[in-house]
Amino acid sequence: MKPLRATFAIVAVLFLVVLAVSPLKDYLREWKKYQTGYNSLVAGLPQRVKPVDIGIRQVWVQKLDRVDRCVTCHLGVKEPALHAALEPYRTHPRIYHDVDDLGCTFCHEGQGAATEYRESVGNVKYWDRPILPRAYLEASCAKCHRENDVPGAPVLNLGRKLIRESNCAGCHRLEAYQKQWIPALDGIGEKVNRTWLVAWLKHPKAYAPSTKMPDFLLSDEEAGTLADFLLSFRTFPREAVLDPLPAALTSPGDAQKAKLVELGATKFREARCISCHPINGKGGYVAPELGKIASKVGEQWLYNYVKQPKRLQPGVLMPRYRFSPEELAGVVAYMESEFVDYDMEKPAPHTPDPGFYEKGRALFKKYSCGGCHGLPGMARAEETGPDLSAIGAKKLYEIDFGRSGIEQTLPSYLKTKLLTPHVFGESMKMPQFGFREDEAEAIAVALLGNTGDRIPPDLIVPATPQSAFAPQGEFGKLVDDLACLGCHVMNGRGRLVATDLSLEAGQARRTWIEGYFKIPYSLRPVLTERMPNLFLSDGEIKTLVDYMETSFIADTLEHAVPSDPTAAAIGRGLYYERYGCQSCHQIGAKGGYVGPPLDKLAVRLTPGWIFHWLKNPQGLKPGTIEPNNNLSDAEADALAAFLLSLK
Amino acid sequence: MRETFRAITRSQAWRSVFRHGLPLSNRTRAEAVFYNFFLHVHPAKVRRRSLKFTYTWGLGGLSAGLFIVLVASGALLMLYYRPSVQQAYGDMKDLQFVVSSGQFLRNMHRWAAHAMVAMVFLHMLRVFYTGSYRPPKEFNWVIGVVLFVFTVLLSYTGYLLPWDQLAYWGISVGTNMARSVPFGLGERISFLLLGGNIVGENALVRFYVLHCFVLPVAAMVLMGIHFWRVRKDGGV
Amino acid sequence: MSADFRAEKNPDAGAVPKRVAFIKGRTAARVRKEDEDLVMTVPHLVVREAIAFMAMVIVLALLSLFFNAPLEWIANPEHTPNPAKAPWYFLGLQELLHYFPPIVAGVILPALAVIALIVIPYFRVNVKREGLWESSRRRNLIGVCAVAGILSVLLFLYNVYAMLIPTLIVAAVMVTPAFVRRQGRILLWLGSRPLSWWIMTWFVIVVVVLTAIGTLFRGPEWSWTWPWKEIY
Repeated sequence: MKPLRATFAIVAVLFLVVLAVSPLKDYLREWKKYQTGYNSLVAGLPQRVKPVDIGIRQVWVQKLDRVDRCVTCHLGVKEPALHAALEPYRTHPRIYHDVDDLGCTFCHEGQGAATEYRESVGNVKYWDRPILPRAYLEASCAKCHRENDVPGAPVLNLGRKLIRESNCAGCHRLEAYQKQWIPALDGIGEKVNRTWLVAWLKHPKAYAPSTKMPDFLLSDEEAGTLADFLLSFRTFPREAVLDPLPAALTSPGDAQKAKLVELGATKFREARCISCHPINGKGGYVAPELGKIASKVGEQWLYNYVKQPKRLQPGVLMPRYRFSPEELAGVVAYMESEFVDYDMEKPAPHTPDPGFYEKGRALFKKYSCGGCHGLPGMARAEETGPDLSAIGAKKLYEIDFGRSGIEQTLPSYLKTKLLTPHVFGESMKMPQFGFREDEAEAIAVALLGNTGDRIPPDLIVPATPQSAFAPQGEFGKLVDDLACLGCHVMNGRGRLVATDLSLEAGQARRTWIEGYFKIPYSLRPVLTERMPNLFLSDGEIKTLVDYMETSFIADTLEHAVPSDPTAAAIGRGLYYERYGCQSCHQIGAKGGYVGPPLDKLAVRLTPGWIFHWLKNPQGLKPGTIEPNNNLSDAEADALAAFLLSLK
Repeated sequence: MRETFRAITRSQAWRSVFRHGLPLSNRTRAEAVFYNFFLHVHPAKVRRRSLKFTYTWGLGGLSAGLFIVLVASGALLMLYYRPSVQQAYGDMKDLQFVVSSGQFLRNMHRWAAHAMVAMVFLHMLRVFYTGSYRPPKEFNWVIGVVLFVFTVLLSYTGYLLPWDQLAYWGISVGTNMARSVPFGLGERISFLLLGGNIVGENALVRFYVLHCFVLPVAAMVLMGIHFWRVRKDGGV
Repeated sequence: MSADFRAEKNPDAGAVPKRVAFIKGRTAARVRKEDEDLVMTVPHLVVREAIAFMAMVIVLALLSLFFNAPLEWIANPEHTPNPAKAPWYFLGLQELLHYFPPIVAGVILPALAVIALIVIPYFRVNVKREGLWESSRRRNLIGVCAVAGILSVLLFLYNVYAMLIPTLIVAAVMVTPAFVRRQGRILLWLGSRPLSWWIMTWFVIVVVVLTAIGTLFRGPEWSWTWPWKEIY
């Protein structure tokens, strides 16, 4: 009996002790340490900051169905006095959102429910959305912000731009991204030679470093087969056929040829081809490299293309220059003589493999070339790559990191995949785009925002609507033929390389516009992207300006500026004394270089534009660095009168 | 002190609850068994031989003990758990991070459940190897086997409730096994069990009801019969 | 005849008349042992029960303090983990599923097992508690060898080594006492085990081996994986 009693006593005591230990463990939770730490921190501050009651705190965001307990330890999030404190107490940097409104994990990710550090940042095995590293934080903006230019999110904006330009949507399902215009391959057999094509397929960036075409890391055999396959396509859209070369180009005498080349060189310069085309890396960026074009395309194709670009490649944003037949032949002769790749191997005689067509077709499909390029008889490839519309919610356990040995997180996976796609396995079909590290990170940021989370509609900032502007009639035909929208924006349509023309006639005087079409010059001569001379006829210029005078204006810009000398005198005072405009602008070759010279302003600009520009520059051109000096109407009138008097 | 204690035990209130005196004499000791609902599954006297631990290894009793632990911890867990796809997993996290001793409760429940499956199986082996199923106890053996099946089912239905990957696919694999019952019966059984063709909201609710009400009540009834029979057949 | 039961004996024939008990061969002999000394349930049994119960709770509580119940990622019907495993007590069955068609492994075998367990007391398989080799050694030997042989061939054909090896070992241990002349204590004990004991032992070993393999040694695609290798 004795030992039994003793056992009973010991076990009973142990029983109670063990049951008491568990609440004790509960009592010693990590967050309590942080809360007492906070209270002793604020007690020592000169400012009066309220200490907190010990207890779990949380932000409940009903609309997002999230409970974030981060504020249990991050106690100073809304306390400005703690802006210099160490984490976890530091004030949140100023942003446009309120922690009570959106919570924490909606942007930062991590495990909001957790009350322990390791669990809350989510670097634990069984939490699939760990906290976003700082470099990738802008990804969360993309959850709601669908607009083109997200304020305060440069990385996200860059990433989205790169996704658009690289045409990721060609192979991947990606909501809100549309397929970009990429040359269809109709008639490629009439366009390029095999030596060039093989080299291009193998390593596109060797020919044109700025090309968007990625490197598919093809083997010699694959590149050869694919080239043979592509070269078998010799017909152009809408049954267009190449015009024969004019006699001037086929059999010129030496002296005649030299003259032709000289004429071509002049016209090439006047047409300012380099505004769009880089030549050996120098020049514009919107169009393909021309430095070795003569070794790439055949002379006949080049002649036909410069003559009528859209006939061979419908949709291309290349203007049809109004060259005379002689000038046209000159430009082609000049390009043929100048832009030659002397290093290119001499084409060897080549007989294609008998099965080249089938094999090439298979390769075309395998690498999803049809995701970007149209080819007659081949359906546009469906999304052959993985669906990326919810890539940001991809679970770590779904990712095969292979032998890459990288940090096992989703951001690092995406970045590595973009930089070196094949590191996760030899069989990966994704090509190498040659992104820089920061570009890869930016794209990863834009992709990580595709979480597929349910977002309440009132939080969504919708995508900037696509403009439906499509000019009709003579003007419309000219805009298409001259590819104006390749560089200019009109009423929200077009690519902004040069200026937005939507208010052009309200800004510039008719006579100036007409003169500008004849002899374009640049207000800022340092720019590469300058208006080309399209050699338009007077009739064409009239059509263009007439349309602009009716459409590219705004009633709000109407304003009569007084023309009396007293006003101009007051304006002079304001210009030189009150506002010191000469520190940025030049008049009579005196003044600063930041803004454009103002000598002949009256010739170019309308009085209304000058007045309104002076009143509120950003209202007319968002983002301009011209300061808004909050001029009164009288001041603006006087200043405008002064500027208009400088004829 | 002693006086107060005596006064309390002699008070009417005390005696209305405990009808016997302190178990100091053999009579009151016997009365303690007779008059106690919980102890009346025992005889007033037991053979000294059966007190030895290795006589039964205490496996049956400990299984019952585990059941008590499971009911107690389970009832507390029910306070925090909502059987819905939206909330179940979050409730697990709340138990872990917010509820006082929530993780401890869940751990107790989980480990006790696993232990019970093993314990009941071992109990069954003990009964077999000591031949304790022989007449007249054959039917009690059958009840015991059914109780073992119930134990496994209880554990299995509880397995789904956390709604994590482990739970979801554990249950999917299990119900897929049931699907191989021939004559289209398997499909029906699995449909009935899951309330659908895949593990979803309906399955969660069904498993919850089975786990928290149907199976425990059925098991308790069978346990009552089981213990009563043990007692009638001269067991401990 | 070995004593299945024992008639009450008293050397003093005068005091107690001799009695002979006739017991039909097919009923179990439940013979009251000599009266033993009885002890009071309270406190002897109740205290022991309380100790056992509290000890168990202590062990559970300590376990719960140091080992958290698993909680993986939230359920994701889109992604099947590889391997998808049932709870451990079903992994024996799942392991069988690897070898046999689902109907056999998922339905017939478990149903047979449960039915066999239920009918044990009615088949009186263990009534005689007679060692397997104590009578009709030759017949039993042939029977045992035949059943074990057929079972082994079947298991071999299905490549069920996880069951084949335990089966062969149990069969070997089973027939050893039948051949060895000089038997030590262990062999004597083994030799005195009845058939039902052997079947149950075989069953338990197979269940334990299959469950252990399914739980610890199975990785992606249900391939053999050592337990210390990370699966995910």
